[in-house]
Amino acid sequence: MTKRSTVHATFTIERHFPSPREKVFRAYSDPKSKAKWFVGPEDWERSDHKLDFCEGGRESVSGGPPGQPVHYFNGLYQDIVPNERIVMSYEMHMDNMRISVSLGTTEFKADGKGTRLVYTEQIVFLDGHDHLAAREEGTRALFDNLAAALEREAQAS
Amino acid sequence: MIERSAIPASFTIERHYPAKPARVFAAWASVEAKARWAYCDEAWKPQLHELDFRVGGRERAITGPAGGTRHIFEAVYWDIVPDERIIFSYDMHLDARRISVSLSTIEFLAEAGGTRMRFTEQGVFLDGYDDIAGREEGTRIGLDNLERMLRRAEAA
Repeated sequence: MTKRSTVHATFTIERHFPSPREKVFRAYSDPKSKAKWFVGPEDWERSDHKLDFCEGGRESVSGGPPGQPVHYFNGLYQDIVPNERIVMSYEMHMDNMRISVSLGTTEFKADGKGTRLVYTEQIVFLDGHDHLAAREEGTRALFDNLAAALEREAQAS
Repeated sequence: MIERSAIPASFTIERHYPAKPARVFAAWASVEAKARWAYCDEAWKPQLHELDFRVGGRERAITGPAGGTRHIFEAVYWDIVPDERIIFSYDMHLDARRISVSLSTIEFLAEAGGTRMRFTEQGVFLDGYDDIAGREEGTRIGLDNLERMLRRAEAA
């Protein structure tokens, strides 16, 4: 029988991107754009990314290092203000175990010609899976991916 | 144009209830049980309350003063461990305006003489609506109502 426990935590990451916020927001709202950066490390095996970007819509993807537990992300969009804000809740599973439930708030603010993005995640880690440092590091890696994707897009246009 | 903002906040409320975890848990698990305690104000008649209590299920409640602002609660259940834990996310609207999105964790722990229940809310308050103290107060009122209901049931 699983010993039940919870750990509540919060982290905030701020990033500046040279792209205007319409472009940064589009990297979240357009399924093809999001699939380019919302991915784990290169050696991860992954499933199809599904995104229905609307209030009440879902997003899911799974992946993980070869031979390791599969990380499954399952999200629900709760608040969308175009070019300004996205609030979503999501759960993470490792194989069949739910390890956390989170509320993620992304704010897009005009900052000169670019965008200041503020991401706040409020999390409850479940049943001994206290992965705050890894979660924050993984999220920073995603923003690195996003920065690279936006830069490629800016160079292509 | 609305000035956009999102203020993160959290609070935890712990209570002791003189009833077994299964009974306290059951008070959250059906519309009939929840209706006896969950509305902040007894004068507020729910115009609607639907609850599909399972992982992935939804809850919707519309309450508020007669003829006044409608308080619309919409939740999705993420995690249910019978008699032990409930996690849901929810948003609140005042009429058409979304004022918050929250993640709530409720834990039921057996202890001498009953149950220790821990309610943790993590949320973002939106677009200038920042009555976080009011949210905590409203939650406390609900949990007081729950205590009265459980005490009556144990006495009966």
